[in-house]
Amino acid sequence: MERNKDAPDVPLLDVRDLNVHLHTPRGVLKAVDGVSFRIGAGRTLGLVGESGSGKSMLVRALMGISPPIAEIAGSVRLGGTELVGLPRGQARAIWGNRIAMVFQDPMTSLNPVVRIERQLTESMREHTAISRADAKIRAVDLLERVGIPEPRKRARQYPHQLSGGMRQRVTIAMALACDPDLLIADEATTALDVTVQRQILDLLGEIQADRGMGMILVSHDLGVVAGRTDEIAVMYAGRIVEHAPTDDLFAHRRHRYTEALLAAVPRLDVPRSHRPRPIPGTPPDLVTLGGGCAFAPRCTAADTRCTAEHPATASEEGHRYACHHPVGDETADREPDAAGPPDTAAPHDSAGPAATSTAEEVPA
Amino acid sequence: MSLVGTEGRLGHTEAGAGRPPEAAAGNRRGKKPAGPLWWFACTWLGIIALMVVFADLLPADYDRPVGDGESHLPPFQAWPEILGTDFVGRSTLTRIAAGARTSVIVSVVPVVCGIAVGGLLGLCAAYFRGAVETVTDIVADALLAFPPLLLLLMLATVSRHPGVWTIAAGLAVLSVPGFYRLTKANAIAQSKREYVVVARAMGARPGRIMFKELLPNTVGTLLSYAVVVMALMIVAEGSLSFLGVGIPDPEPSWGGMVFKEKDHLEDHPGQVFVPCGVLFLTVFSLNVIGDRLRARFDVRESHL
Amino acid sequence: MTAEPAATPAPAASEAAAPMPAPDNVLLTVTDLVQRFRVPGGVLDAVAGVGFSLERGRTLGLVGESGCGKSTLARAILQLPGPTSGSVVFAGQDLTTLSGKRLRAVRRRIQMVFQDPVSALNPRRRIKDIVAEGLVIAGVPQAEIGPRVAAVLRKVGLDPESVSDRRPHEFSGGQCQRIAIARAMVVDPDLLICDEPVASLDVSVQAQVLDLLDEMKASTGVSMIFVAHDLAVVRNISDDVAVMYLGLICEIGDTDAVYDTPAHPYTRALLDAVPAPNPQAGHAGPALAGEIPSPVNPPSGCRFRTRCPLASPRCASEVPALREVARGHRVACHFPLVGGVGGAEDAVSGEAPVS
Repeated sequence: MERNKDAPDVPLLDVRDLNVHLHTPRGVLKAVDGVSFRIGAGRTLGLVGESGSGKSMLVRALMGISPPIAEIAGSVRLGGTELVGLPRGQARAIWGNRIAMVFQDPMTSLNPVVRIERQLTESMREHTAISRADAKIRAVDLLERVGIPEPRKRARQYPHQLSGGMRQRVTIAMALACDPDLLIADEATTALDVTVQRQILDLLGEIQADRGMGMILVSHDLGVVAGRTDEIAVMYAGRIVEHAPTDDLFAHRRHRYTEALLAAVPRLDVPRSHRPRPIPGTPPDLVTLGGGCAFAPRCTAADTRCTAEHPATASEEGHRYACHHPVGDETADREPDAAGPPDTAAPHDSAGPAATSTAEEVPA
Repeated sequence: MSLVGTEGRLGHTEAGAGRPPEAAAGNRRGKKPAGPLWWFACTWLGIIALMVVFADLLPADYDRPVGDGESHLPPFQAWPEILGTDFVGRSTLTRIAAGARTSVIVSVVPVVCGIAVGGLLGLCAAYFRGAVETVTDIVADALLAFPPLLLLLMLATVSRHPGVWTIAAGLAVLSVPGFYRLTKANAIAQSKREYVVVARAMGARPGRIMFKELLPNTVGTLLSYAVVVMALMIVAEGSLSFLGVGIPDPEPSWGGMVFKEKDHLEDHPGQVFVPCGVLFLTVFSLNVIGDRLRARFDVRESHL
Repeated sequence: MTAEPAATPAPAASEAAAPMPAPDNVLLTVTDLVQRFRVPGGVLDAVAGVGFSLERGRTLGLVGESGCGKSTLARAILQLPGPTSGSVVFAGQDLTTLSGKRLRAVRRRIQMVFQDPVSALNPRRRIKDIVAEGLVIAGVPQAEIGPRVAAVLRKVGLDPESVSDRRPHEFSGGQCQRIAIARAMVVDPDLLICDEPVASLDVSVQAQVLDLLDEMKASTGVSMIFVAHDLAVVRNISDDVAVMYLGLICEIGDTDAVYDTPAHPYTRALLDAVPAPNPQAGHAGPALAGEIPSPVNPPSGCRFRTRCPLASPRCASEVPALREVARGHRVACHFPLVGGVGGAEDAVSGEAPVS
C-alpha cells in the first residue's frame, strides 16, 4: 500500500490524549479515556471494539456530534487545525466539509421527506459557492460514482424508494459531496446483507484510492477491517489497547483482549471443529472503572498486578499495546491456542473456479 | 447512566452487552430530582384530601347562614369564617371544603369508569383486531361525536334529581372514548413486541395475554392520562356550574360559587377569587403530577 | 449426529391431550409452504413454496439475506400467522388444520427464541414469572413450578437466588437471552426455533449463548431450527443447512457438504462474500453484482438468474426443482456446481427427507 510515499509532515489527523467524559446522574462515565493516534492522508485506520468500547463516542467527538452531557478534552488536529474548543461557526466549516461521516442506518441518516437530489446539494451549497444548477449536475455525477444505476432518475426519488444498499450508497455520496480529506465510516455496513456489504466496502476502497482520502473504518467485525485497512486500533473500555499495522496485528497480536476477540469469532476459514471460545464475563461499567487493566476481570492471564496497576503502553516498531502479560511472553500459564487461526491462512477452498491464494489487492 | 442508555440512544447496534447487572439494580434512569413544584402540588392535593375527609367537622354548615347572617364578609377577617361568607352569609370555607367533595366525585368517578370500560374495550380491540376493533371503534366514535354539553344538559333535564351524580355519570360516558383510544393504541404497540408473540407461541389464552402481558405495560400511560383527565373534569364541572347548568344550590361547587358571586365582583372580589383560586390550584397540581407521571413512564418505555 | 430424544418428564394431566408422536424419527415435515401477503404493489410471496424435513435431535440452519423469507418461514411453522397454503406436520399432526384449544396444546411443544432479548421479555414482570409462564399455561401444579424454574435458571448459568425477583431491564443483552432460552426450555419442548438469537449481541457474548444452545441440545436432545444471516454462526451449530433466496430454498443439505462444496452459485457467492478475519485471505471470486430483486415481482424461472454468473435462457423459462446432487445434498439449479446438469424431466419440489 504505497499511497504514503510522500507522507506529509503534518499527519492528516492527529489525536492526542482525547477524553470524552459523560456527566451522568450516576457519575462520570469515561467513554473515551486518553486516546491518541494519527492517520496519514490516503491511509485507512480500522477501529475495532464491541459495544461500550468507546469507538462510536470517539468518532462522534471527531465529528462534533457528541451528546450534550459530554465533556471533551485533549487535542484533535485536522491537518494543523485544532478542533477541540473550536468556536461553533468555524467548526461548522470543517464538519461535513473536510471530515465527513457515513452512519450505520441509512434510513435515519436520510431525511425521508426530502428528495435525494436535494439532500446532496444541500451540503454542497452549505460549504461551497456552487450554483444550484451546477450542484444538481454534480449530484448526479456523485450518484453515478457510487454505483447507482439510472442516477438522474434516482436523484428525483425519495429514500424509501431505494433499497438498503442503494441508500447507503447515497449516504456515501452525501459524504463525498464536498470532497472531504477524511471519511469516517461508523459501522457503515453492519446493517447490510453480506453480499451488499462487500460491494459497499469495495466502493469505499475505490473512492479512497481515487481521492487519496484518509479513512477511519469503525466496526465490531474483525473480518470487515482485516482486508481493508492499513492499521488497526483495538478499543476496550474507552482506551486503545492495541494499535498496529493490520498484518502485524493479526499475525503477532499482543494484547490479550485482541487474542480473545479473535478466538471468540466464528469463522468460515477454520475447520468446523475449531469452536469459537467465549470470553467470560461482561464488559465493565465505565462509571465505576477502577485502576488497573480494564480487561483483567475477564482475562485468562491476569494476576494481581493487572488489577492493581494500569499497564503502560509498550511500543515495538509501530506496534503499540498496553498489557502486562502480552501474548508471546511466556510469563503466564496458558493452554495451547486451539481456536486461533494459523498465521498465513489460505482462503477456504470452495468447489468453484480455482480459489487462489492471491488475495485480491484490496485498495485501502 | 449505563452504557446502553447513552450508546443505545445514539443508534448503536449492539444492544445490551454493556449493561452491568449489579450496578443497575433499582437504577432509575432519567429521574429528575423532584422540584418544588412537585412538592407544592402534592401538598395542595393533600390539603384538598383533608378537606374532603373533614369537611363535616367544620363548625359552620355549608347551606345555612352563619351566625346572624352577615353577608359578604371579606376573607381573613374573622374566625372561623376565615375565607369570609358568601352573598347569603354562608361560610365560604365550609363551602369550599364541601365543594371539594363534589370535585372529587366529579373527577374520580368518570375516570374510574373510563378506565374500566374504555380500557377493557381497548384491550379487546387491540388483541382481537378485525371485526371486534371495527365495532368498538364505531361505538367510541359515536360517543366522541356526541356534543358533550348537549349530553349533560339532556341528562340534567331528564333525571329526577339532577346533581353531582348526574353530572358524574354524563362525564363518565364522555371520558370512555378517550381511554379506549389510548389503551388501544398502546396495547397495539405492545402486542407487536416479541414477548407477546412468545406468549401466543406458548399457547396462552387471549385473556391471559391481555391481562398479564398487555395491561401491565399500558397501565403507566393510562394513569398519567387519568390524572390529566381528572383535572379536565373538574374544569368541566366548574364551567357547567358557572354557566348555571351544573349542580344546583345549595350543593356547593367551586364553579357554582363563582357563578353566584360574579355579579358582586366589583364590590366583593374576594368571594370570586377564593373559589377561582382553589379551582386553579387544584387543576394545576393535578397537571403537574400527571406530567411527571407521564415523563416517568415515557422514560421507562424508551429504555426498553 | 442424531441424539436420542431425551426422556420427557411425566406430563401433567392437562399436557397429555396431544396424541403420541409418530413412530419414525421425523419430527417435522413442511410441504409446499406458501406465505402470501397483500401489499400496495400487488401480491408478495414471502415464502413461495418451501418443503423440508427435520429429524429428532438434529439442527437445521436457515440462512439467507434480507427478504429471503427465513423469518417468515419460522413464524409460519409456528402458525403465527399460519401459512396461506401448504402443510406443517409436527409429530404426526398437521398444524395448519388445528385451531383453538388443540393448537394451543401442541404449541407448548414448540418454543421460540427471538433476536432482541430485551423486547422478548415483558419489562413489567419478574424473571421468575417470565420463566414460569410456560409451566403456568400448561397447568403444571404450583408446587412443581418453583423448583423447575430454579433448575432451568441454573442450567443456563444464572443464579436463581439473585435473578428471580429482578426485572429484565436490570440485565445485559446476553443475560436476557439466557433468560429467554430458560423460558423456552423449561417446558421441555420437542422443537426450538431460534430466530437470529445472537445477532444483537456482542461477539464475546455470542459465543457464550451459542455454547449454551449447544449444551441444551446435548443434554435434552431438543431439535432446533436456527435462523440466521451470519453464515459462520450457523455453521457451528447446525447439522444441516438450508440456503434461502427470495422465498425459496435454493440449496439444502448436510452442513459440511454445503459449506465445503456449495452446489448453488448463490451459496458460493454468499460464502465468498463473508470477510475472514485474516488480512491475507481475500475473496475467491468477484463480488455478486446487483441487488436482491423486489419480492413482489420476482424474476421468472430461477429467481437468482438476474445476478447469477451462470445464467442461461433456460433459467429464465424453467423454474429449477430441488433435486439431489449428492447424498443428502439437494439444490435447485439447472447448472449446479456439484453433480450434473439438470435434465428437463425434473419434477417440481421433491420432498425427500434431508438425511
